[in-house]
Amino acid sequence: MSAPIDAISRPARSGWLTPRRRKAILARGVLYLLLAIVAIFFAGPLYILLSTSFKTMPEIQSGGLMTLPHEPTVQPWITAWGEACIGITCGGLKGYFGNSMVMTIPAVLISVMIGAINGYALAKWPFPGARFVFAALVAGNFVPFQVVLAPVAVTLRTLGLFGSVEGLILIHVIYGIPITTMLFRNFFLSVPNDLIKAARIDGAGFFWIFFRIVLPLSPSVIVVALILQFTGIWNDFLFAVSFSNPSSAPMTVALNNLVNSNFGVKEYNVHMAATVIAAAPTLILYILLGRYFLRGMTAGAVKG
Amino acid sequence: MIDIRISNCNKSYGSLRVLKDINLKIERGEFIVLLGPSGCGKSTLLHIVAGLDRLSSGEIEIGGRDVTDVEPKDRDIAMVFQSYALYPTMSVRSNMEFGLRMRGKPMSEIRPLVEEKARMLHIDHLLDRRPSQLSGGQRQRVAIGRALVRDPKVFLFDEPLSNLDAKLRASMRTEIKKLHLTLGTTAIYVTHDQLEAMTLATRMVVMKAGEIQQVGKPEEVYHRPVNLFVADFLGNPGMNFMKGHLRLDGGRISADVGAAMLPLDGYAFETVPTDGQAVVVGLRPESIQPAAAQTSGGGVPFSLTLKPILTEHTGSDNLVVLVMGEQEIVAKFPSDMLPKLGEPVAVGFDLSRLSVFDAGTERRI
Repeated sequence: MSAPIDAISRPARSGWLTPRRRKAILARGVLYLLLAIVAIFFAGPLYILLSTSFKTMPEIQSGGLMTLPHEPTVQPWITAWGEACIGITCGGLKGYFGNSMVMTIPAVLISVMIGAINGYALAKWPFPGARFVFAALVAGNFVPFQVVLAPVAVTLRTLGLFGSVEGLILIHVIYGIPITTMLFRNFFLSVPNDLIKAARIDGAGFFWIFFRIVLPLSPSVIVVALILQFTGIWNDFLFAVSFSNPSSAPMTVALNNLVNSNFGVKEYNVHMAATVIAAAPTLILYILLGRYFLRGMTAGAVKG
Repeated sequence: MIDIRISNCNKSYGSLRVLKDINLKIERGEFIVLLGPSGCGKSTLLHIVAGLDRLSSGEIEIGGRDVTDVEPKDRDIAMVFQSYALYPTMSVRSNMEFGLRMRGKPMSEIRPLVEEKARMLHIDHLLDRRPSQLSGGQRQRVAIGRALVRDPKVFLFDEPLSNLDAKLRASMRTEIKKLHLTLGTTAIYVTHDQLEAMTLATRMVVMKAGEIQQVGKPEEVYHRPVNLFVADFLGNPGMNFMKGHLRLDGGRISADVGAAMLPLDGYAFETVPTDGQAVVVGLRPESIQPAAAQTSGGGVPFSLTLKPILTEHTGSDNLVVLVMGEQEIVAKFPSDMLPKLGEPVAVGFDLSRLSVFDAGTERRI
């Protein structure tokens, strides 16, 4: 961060607060102000979420949304995780968290893997009709999910997967393939064709080249695909609420049922804790892989 | 013994015909250079021999076996690319081992082979590095090494030196030549650099717009080009062309190029010349020298006095632009002979080096 400031101030060494320097400082100031506003805008709700989740109900009712908890307690977290009543059962979120994991992890891995292989085939092994297949996949990205709800419901019922975690996995894989394929295909276009040719002459086949040469070049795009798919599938509500039953419902549905239940006192602290739990996996993923994500998003924009 | 036979080979992309009925026989141990301007189909032809591109029609034979529909890996070939095409995530050693491992050779045999070839190419100290840590010249050595360890029946080179700077290119050229002399493996080499073609080839193939123009030993193609295109494409500076007409006078034949009558008595005509035939007479700059310095290499003595209008020093020679009637011709003078501009000098033409082309068909006559 200090480098650009130095670069700007250097020409003004002779006299301090020259017009040019004043302009640069002003520009910096405006930039930081805007960044601060955006940061508050995004971090504010998270702060309220966290501080409220450690408060007791009486403290919440006495007002003071922005204050830190006076007597911090982890009880809301314990309740949200293991005791809160969702629908007619009172086992907390833990079962649904498990459902979400069991649904999301396979769906992410399968859709990313299929997308990678598809993208590789489309980018590096041109076959008759490849352009049509790609155009169809691109179009697939723009299908509004509301349109497919009824046909998917019928399909899942026919397959005997309606209301099951497997059914949700299948749907997420299918609707994840267009975006992951496009992502990988566009990245693989930048892999030099000569590499593939050299490997073919060396005796490597389709999958050998994929696993030994192409995939090792692609950690950044793999991370982008993983994060994109994980957030999308973990946060999905529409498919989850349409095609799950109480025993297979993922976090998003459970959180909704918890927060929107109409009997008893609204336990905001529990709701806040539950929300943080629901958001935690995607947050952690971003924190762990965020820098690869950024690198992957800009890869190809700048050569080398 | 024929090693590679390319028969009636055609290749089209949609309506674009990039190769038109190519026929070529390559003997074992030959070093064939495919030369031509970009877009002439030379790289496509190489890729077809490699099996990386499919033929539209025709046949390819390698080592007496029809490989038209055989996968590249089963053709017993190795290829060196202009972009080097080293596997970026593997070490130099793994790059060189890859092909043999793919063929299921045991590591105990691969290791010594790789190390031997690495020593041969002076890259043994680089074996544990990544390609990104190497210079351009080193990368190209590794790429050649990767091809060498496979010990293939045929080497294919796709403009391997084009990415190197001029000096490195010259030294790598010499090394490739040495390698070929040592190993004697059949090679096909694609380039647009005529110097590489002239120096490396045992036979060269000049191509244009998907067609073979001429096949022959470098000196043969250089001195006896079959048409105007080949004559013009080879040589730097290019061949001088003088437009004129043939004159048949009794038993004597000469070419009237306006400013002079060039006697063609010693010229070996390939077709029967006719009186008044429109022709283009070609003569390379090095065959036009100061009359005083002209070496009497069995040539027919013939000299003209022409006015120089421009000189260029190239270091080893002086290029002199001379006015000849309404045309300009370039002569190559020794570096110690610099004519004064505007003062006519006597220059000798080595008429044994003449090439005569029909002005209409552009073919050698």
